Amino acid sequence: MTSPNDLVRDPLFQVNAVLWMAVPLPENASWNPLLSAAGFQVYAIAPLLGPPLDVLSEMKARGITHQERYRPDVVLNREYDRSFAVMECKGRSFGIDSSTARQATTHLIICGPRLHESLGLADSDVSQGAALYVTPESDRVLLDGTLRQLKEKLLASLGHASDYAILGLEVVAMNEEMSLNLTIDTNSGMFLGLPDPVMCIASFHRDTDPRPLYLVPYDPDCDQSPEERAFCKRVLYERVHSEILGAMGRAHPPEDIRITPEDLLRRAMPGVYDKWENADSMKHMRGLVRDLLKRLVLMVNAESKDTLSGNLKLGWTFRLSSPEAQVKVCNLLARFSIEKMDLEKEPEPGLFDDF
Amino acid sequence: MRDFDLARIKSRHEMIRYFDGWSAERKEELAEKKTRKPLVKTNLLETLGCAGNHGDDVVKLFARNGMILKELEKDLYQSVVEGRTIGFLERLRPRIVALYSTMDSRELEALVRRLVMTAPEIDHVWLSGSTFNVLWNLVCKVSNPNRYVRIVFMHDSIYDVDNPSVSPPDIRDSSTDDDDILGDDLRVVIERRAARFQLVDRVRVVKEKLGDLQKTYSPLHAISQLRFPSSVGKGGHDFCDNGKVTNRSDSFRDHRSHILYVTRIYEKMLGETEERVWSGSEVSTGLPNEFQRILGVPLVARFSEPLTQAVFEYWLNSTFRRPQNRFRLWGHPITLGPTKAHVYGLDKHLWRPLFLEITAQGCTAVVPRGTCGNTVHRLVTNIQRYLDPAAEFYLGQVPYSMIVDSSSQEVPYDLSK
Repeated sequence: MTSPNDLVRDPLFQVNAVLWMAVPLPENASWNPLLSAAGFQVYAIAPLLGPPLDVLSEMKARGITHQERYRPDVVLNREYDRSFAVMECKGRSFGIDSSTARQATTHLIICGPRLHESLGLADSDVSQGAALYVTPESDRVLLDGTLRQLKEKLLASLGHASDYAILGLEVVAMNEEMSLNLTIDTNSGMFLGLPDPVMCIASFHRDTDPRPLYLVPYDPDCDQSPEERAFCKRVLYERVHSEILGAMGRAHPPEDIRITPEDLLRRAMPGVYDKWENADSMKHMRGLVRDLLKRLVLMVNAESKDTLSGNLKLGWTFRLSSPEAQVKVCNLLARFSIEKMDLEKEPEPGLFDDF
Repeated sequence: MRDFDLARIKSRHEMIRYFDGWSAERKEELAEKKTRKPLVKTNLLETLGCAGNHGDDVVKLFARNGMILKELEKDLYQSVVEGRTIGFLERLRPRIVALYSTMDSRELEALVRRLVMTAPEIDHVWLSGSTFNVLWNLVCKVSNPNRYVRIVFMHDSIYDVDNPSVSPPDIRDSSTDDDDILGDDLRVVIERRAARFQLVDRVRVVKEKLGDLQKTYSPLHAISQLRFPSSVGKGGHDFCDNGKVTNRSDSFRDHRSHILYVTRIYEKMLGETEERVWSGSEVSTGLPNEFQRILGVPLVARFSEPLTQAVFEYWLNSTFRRPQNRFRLWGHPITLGPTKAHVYGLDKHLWRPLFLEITAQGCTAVVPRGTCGNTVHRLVTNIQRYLDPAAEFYLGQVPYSMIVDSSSQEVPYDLSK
């Protein structure tokens, strides 16, 4: 189990923590929905955003290093005052000359007065925007220094840049009980309307992992420890496994059920999988699911011959010839345990990974 | 009334007249405490994937599962199983059907259970203890305070046992819901809290006492049966938590009216639940090729007292290590502490995904889009029945009971329609 102090450095934990802070929950729930209580809701997860074209060409003309487009982790909005918070989750601070600083430059430009254009909304739909960062509390001051320099640079060369705010995650121990706290800097407090400089997100016992259910289970582009990567892979595989079993259970024999890695990924990560533009990431994801499928196929084939046809390139077709065959396949699939797989081992590159 | 071939009934009007006569005879027999034939029973079922206007879908769905439906008129069918007409199926609402029958209770229950167990598209209508509490308030409002009401409470903490080597009964071991409490000298004695008792008294008396009693003894929150007193005569209509309704009045028309009333409330609850809980619905944001991802709200169950570690483990193991578990869930729990686990699994009844965080303090369920609202109501019903009758439930931050209450307020208690 990853220690809580390491967990707050994991960007995927941070993304899921933010999402749960923005989900309405009852009082005294295990997770403090402080963003939801402040009126915010999830507007988009990983939307592709870029600055208006004229700003982009001006940035180019002035030699400002930037990214043309990027996907912030989460966009939150508050309907009653038309505020938008564009959030980035960072496991650690970064330097002004790093590649992440290019992304941060675009982030600070996008969240400025023309955020509505980047979001494809009318001017009247957005009253204010802010670039929000989530990072471990221990990195908050460092990150603040980097962002301040970036903002000053933009103000000097372009004349505009958005405000930014940083939320710091930290685990505080109180005997056997632990508290996952969020430190809210002055800018965040004002923008989000949060009253206290430090708020408890979740209380948990020392022997318990504080993570919430993962709404975003996996991100190949995320910088994670091998242990956390393996955990997220398990969550992804559990979801893919349940999708496969569900498809078999819902079938009406005699029926052929065709399964491809792409379909499974779309169903297991609705709205997220299709957004990756990085071809290597997509290939990696398909490879992961193909690896799981291969193991499931081997097991089903060993116990129930003539049930499967297909191949790794085009996907597999489960032939459910009768209700009895369906029950047998479902029982076989249900018994398969993801937990017993070596999840830290990356799948071998396959011939069909590019398909 | 002599045995009559149900196949001769050709219309809704004839069906109602037939069942009306049957009900009147049975009511007389009940008064004499000598029932010679079974009462009229209705089983309310939810059908998935048949929400369109075509009855064809319902016909095909039931045919796949061994019940032939012969259309008599719009939305009314004769139900034939193995060549025998066992009753009538009426499509009351796009997603809810009622199976009316005078079959023997055990035989009918076995048939309905088989249907529900084998068909992922057919489920019971699940009336949880919280739903019954709202319906009970309606009974108080609409009934003469001097009428008698019957409430059955059922809580069986099957996971809180003195001997963990004894497996909890699985779904196949269900006993009939309207049996009286029977002694059984041969039954193995397992010490655990099991409360099943009925309360029969005047509406005004129960109304005055029940709230206080529930505060004192939590199993009284686990209402599993409630009688709506008949609005036209003596007796009433016993609604069970699994959607079975027994007509103990002398009027089938009144019975059907009450069925329609509760069905309308349930349908609104389903719609409201799905609208709130579904995660992954897509709404265009206006950005080219972009969609806004709206997260649904989770179902949150908060136990009145934390489960002990032993109960937590027993519940988790007997649910996720047994294919035929009470909760009809499947998944491989990810252990995150002595009393915390995550399950990215399936509602095995519908074969649809369901993500659960289970702790000693409660349970949080994320319902992906496409998973039926019935999953939520079944989960609430089972938690109240088998884990904690006084558990509180929320959809997001809104109390579950408030959703039931608001659904009921939109439906007038007008039995003439």
